[in-house]
Amino acid sequence: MKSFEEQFYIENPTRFEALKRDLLLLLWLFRRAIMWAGKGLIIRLAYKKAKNTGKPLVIEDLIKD
Amino acid sequence: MKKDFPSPELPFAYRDQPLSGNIINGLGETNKRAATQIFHGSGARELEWSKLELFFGLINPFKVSWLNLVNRWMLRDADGPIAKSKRKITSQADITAEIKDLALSFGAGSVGTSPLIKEALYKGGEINYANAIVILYPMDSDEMQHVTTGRAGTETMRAYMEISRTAIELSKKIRAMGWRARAYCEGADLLHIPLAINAGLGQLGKHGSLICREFGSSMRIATILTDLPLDHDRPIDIAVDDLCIGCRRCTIDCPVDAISDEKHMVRGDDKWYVDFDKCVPYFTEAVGCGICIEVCPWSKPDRGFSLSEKLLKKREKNKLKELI
Repeated sequence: MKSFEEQFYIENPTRFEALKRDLLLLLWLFRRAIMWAGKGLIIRLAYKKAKNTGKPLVIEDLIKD
Repeated sequence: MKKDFPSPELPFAYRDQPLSGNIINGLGETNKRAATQIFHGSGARELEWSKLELFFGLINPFKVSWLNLVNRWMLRDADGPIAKSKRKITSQADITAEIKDLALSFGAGSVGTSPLIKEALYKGGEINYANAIVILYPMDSDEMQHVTTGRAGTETMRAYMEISRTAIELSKKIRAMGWRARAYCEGADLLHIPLAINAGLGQLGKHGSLICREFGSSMRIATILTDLPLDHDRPIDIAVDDLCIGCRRCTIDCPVDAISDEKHMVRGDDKWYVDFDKCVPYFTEAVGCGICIEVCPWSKPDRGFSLSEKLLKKREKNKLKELI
């Protein structure tokens, strides 16, 4: 697994490398945004319910491997 | 400061608790070894508490999450093109002063320099630079009065963005001089606090965060690693321990009692230590928490210099008394 730095920090990139990096980073950010809006919404609703009912959420049930 | 902090009874839990963060951190270990990432990471490796970190990211308010993504987009310029002709350095002192002036002009609140020490690297981390320029950026104290809410979380992310922008601008300037430079900001595989201490910016406080005279603990840290030859600052004594030993503000106000009144042996060093297993789940619940750094007496605006001076004078007086 590559770190954020390994994926998107490029020392002395060519124009093509920089463009490729920008596109990949946009895709990475888009995926994160979709996850926050999709899976995140489900988790936030469950979290709100857990707060109101007092029945704790189980992390492993929400976030699978 | 508002005191209606979230309850320590958390609405979430692990079914099978991950390995204790205190064990991973080396609490009680007398041998020196590198630190291991547990919770916040750059994605390089699977972290023991990564599910909680993802959960934290997903329950964060929209604005905090949005600013985080904008910050990540900015960070693509943390490294980049290096000028072909290398600027000759005739005086390290002059170039160090120039770099510090540049950092301040780009918005840094404080700046120091250090060699890249091994204590700043996580286990298995390989970073090949000679020097570190450490910068601090203050958070807005009025906004941070609202810790444990999205408002303070948003201010924290804003500060991260500002310090990223500053660090990136500085790294670009160094690369334009023909020297390698890379900005390490939020979520990077680098331990900023040991570097900041070595760069003479402050000392470790009881709450496990850096304390500096300018902003107390109410600031963010970023580091620019470079091969540009620089003079190094030295660690300073601003009398943090003199206050922390007797002060109990953070230990009392921490809702989960994660902060200890005594130092502990951690990976061969006797130092202030925060109980990871108590702190991090509450940090997740409380939008990044931050209670301890905001209640810290050092974090009151314009207090640090006079407080440090007073404590150092008191120490001298006590030494004299002992001699007499």
